[in-house]
Order: sequence, then structure tokens, then C-alpha cells
Amino acid sequence: MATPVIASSAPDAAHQATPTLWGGARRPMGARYGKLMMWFFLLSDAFTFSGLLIAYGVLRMSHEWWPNPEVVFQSVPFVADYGMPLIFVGIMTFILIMSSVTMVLAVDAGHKQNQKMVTFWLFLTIIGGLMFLGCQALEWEHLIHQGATMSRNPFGPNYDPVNHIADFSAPQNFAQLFFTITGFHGGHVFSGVILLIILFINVVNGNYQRSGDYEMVEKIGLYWHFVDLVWVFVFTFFYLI
Amino acid sequence: MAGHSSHHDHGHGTKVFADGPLEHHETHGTIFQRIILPFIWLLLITAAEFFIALVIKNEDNKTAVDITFVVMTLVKAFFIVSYFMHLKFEFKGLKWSIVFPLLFIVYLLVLMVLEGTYMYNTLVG
Repeated sequence: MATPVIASSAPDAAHQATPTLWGGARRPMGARYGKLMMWFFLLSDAFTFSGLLIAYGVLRMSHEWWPNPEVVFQSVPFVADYGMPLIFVGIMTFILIMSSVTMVLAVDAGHKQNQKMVTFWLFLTIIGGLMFLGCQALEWEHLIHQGATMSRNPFGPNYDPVNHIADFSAPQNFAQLFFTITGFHGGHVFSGVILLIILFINVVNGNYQRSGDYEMVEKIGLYWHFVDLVWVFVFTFFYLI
Repeated sequence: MAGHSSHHDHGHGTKVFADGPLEHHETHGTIFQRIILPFIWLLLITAAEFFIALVIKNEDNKTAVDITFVVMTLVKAFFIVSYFMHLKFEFKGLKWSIVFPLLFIVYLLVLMVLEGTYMYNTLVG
């Protein structure tokens, strides 16, 4: 007796009938719609950040003098107001790299359908994101306290953090560029944390365990890694060079 | 494809989703190779960046140090995108449709560096 063809075996049959990748009936990019669209969104976001960073580069290049990052960023909140260059941003960078690693581990646990471990790693990732946001708030508060605003830059050649002397005779767009670009990045971290919290609730409720499909963890993971990627560039161009 | 609404897990590995099975599966190497090793590289490069910024950098070697920083940044970006974001193991079509458009950023960069140099020479030089 002939077995009736069941619907779920049809894609496999079509797959065998069309051996070419672009011949139809299979995914030529090997990824489903949602993940593909996340990638293209991130590509467009990469253009946005490139636009901001390149504008910063051009403005910086066209000036003879520019604030030295080791002078501007030398405070560690609650520890020292000056004298510890780049230490605090080092901590922030470490937090973000760590949260990227915990995110990868969450994605990996998702592939293994391990609900408990996905929950655990996502929780750590959310904590990392919140810690980064807290650090950024503290750093902004310090810079604003030193006199930096969207239109004024106190970090001129005679800026003295020891005696609290501001010098406004330097390129005024330094502080504006700093707040805009780190703010835009921080906004991404913030929306990333919101997405992670929604994801966390869904994982805890077992939504993905029931459907056997943890791809949402992968998609939001892509976004989270992108935020880390942007920070790598912001870190180099604002704090190192 | 959307017609295949059957929606269950066929045990390990092969899954049938609402919009058809996923042909491409994820496991490439051990956790050490995929996650820990790239992570160690990211940490080491970042540590080296701090060392260069705080100890080696001075007025005379500034240009060479800055070029080193940019190269190190691009290496870190490579590790994040290819391993953490998994792009290295995706299909060719996906890989190139993401990497190729990034050339537009290089184009804008070249354009704006030329303009920045011109502005510097006109305003300052």
C-alpha cells in the first residue's frame, strides 16, 4: 500500500530535486528571514556609526590641537578624581567583552536546547549590560562636572584637574562629539538590555523550549555583539588615539 | 514553504520549523576553539593596547603607535564578527552580502580624510 506523502517531508524532496544553491526550494543564504534581516539591520547601523566616527575623525584632523585622552579620562569614580589615566575605561571595556562572552555561551546553550544554561548566561549578560550603563553614567557625570557640555569643551591645553581649572580655548566640538557618539552607543546598549530582558522572560517561561527553537537568542545575540564591536572602535578612536 | 506548518522536534539535530528545516548546523569546533580562544585574543590585544598607550606612546612615535592601534582594532573586529557573530561559518552569500557593502565605509573614509587634510592646510597650515 502506497504511503501518502506527508507535508513535512516535501522540503527534503524539493531539496534533492534542485541541487543548485540558487535553484529555489532552499535557503541560498543558509539563514532564515529573521536572522538575515538582523544582519542587514546591523549593516545599516554600521553605516550610521561609521558616519559619526568619520565625521569625528575629519573634525579632529582639521584642528591643530586636540585634547589628550590621557588627560581628559584620568578619573576613577569613588577612587580618584585624577591621576589614573584610562583605568576606568579599561574596566568598562572588560565588562563589555565579558558580557559578549556570556552572550555567546547563551547562544551555544540554546543550540543544545538547555533552558537552564540559557537562563543563567542571559542573566549574567544583562548584569554586564547594566554595569556598563552604570559606568557610562558615572563617567558622563564626571565630565559634566568638569564643565563639558554639548557646546563647551573645558579640556584645553591649560586644563588642570588637580586645581579644578577649566580651559575653554580648545576645539569646542570635542565634548559634543564625545557625548553624541558614546551616547548613541550607550543608547544601543540600553535598548540591547531591554531586548535581553524580554528575551530572558521568554526563556524563563519556556517559550523557546516548547517550540524547540532558540534562534531568537541568536538574533538578539548578534545585536549585542554588534554593540561590543562598536565599542571596540569608539574605545580606539576616543580613548587611545 | 510557509505551507509546511508541521512544527515538531525530530530528536537531536534535525528540526522542522514553521518555515522549513534549517539545513545548516552550528557545531564548528569545540567551545574552546569557538569561544574561549577568541576571547583570550580579545583580552590580550586589549591589554597590549593599554600597555602601548600608557608606557610606549610618546610624541615621537605617535604616528606609528596610532597605526598600530588601528590595526589592532581591526583584528579585534575580525574576531568579534567571525567567531562571536559566527559570520565566518555562514554561507558564502550571507558572508559577502555583509562584508562587501562595508567597502562604502572605506570609500567615505578616503573621501573625508582627503577633505580633512585640505581643511587643515587651509585653516591652519
